[in-house]
Amino acid sequence: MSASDGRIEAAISRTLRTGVLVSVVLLVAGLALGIADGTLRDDSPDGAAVVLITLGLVALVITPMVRVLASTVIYWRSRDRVYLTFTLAVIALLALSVLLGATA
Amino acid sequence: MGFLRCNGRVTPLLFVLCAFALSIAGGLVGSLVGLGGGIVVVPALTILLGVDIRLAIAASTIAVIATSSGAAAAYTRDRLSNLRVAMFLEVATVAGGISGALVAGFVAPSILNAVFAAVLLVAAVTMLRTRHDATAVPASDLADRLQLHGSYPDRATGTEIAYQVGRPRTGFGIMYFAGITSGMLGIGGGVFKVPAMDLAMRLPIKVSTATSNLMIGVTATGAAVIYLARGDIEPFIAAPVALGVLIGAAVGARVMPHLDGTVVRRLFVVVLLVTAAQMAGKV
Repeated sequence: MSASDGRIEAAISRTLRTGVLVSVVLLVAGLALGIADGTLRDDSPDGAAVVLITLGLVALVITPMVRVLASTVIYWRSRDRVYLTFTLAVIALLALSVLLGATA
Repeated sequence: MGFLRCNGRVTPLLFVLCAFALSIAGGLVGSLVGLGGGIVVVPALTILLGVDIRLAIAASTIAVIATSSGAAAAYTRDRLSNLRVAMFLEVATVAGGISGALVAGFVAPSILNAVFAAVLLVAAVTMLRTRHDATAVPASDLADRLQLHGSYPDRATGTEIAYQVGRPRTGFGIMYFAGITSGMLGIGGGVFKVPAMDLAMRLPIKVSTATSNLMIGVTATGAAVIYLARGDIEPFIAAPVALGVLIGAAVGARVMPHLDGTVVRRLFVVVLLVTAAQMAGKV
């Protein structure tokens, strides 16, 4: 365990907690609105409730990516070349998988 | 069994409440065994709530990410996850996921399911019989150089437990295979991650499931982005699933440090056997 590991653990834990919190607030607000305004009952595909829920899901989905990005920054700063390479490879491969999926 | 009333015709509000309640169980189990909770969420949605399998699988990728982020914040803070092992192995799982998606059309799913069911059965039996001995971990120059070894505070015994990591190359190879399976089948890749860390790399079982838990979020992100873009993720299914799973995972992450490793191992083996049976059923 090197000196940078403690900082990375704290940063990752904080990143994940923040992402989850933002997502929960948006999802709860969207669900509550959907129940209140009838969007849920009518199964309507649009409206503010659906927008809020979608934003909440987007926040949830990008949280692991933000976690990798945060680790990349810390490895960069602590000049840990090997782990910087690993995190950059993960980011590049994830981008590639999204591009391949998007065009498939 | 109030949940069973969810079956058949239900009001949208009751559906949301049932999906939420069932997902709490999914998040709890998923966070303890290091899988996404899809093993609970997919059957719960399709069998109990009558959701189309395509929408259920899309919602379960959301459940995987929710389990991962919901529990990993605590596992990382408690130093139960091995971050270096996770960062190292993520390269293999993400690369495997792409390979799997590319070759998915060329192999019959029934053959894949049969092979994976057999592999999971062998892994389950092996994991149940294995009794770990810290001195038995094979030395590895690569593991030394990557500083993969670590330690974690075990609340069950109140001690700090140091461990060595062995066979990083074998673990990396199995992770690539695990990534291929998740890319080809859409689900199920997570079940190979824990056996790879447990049997090949000899991580303590709680570290294996906590580290797998951290990795599955990243592995599922690629698929989730694609499902979101395609509109396969139904908001009023995904929202209660995500919230329920987040609550279940938060509870699971609080319970885990106090659990005995043997309990976690047995729970994982049960989940492995259930997954093997599900895959065998699709052959």
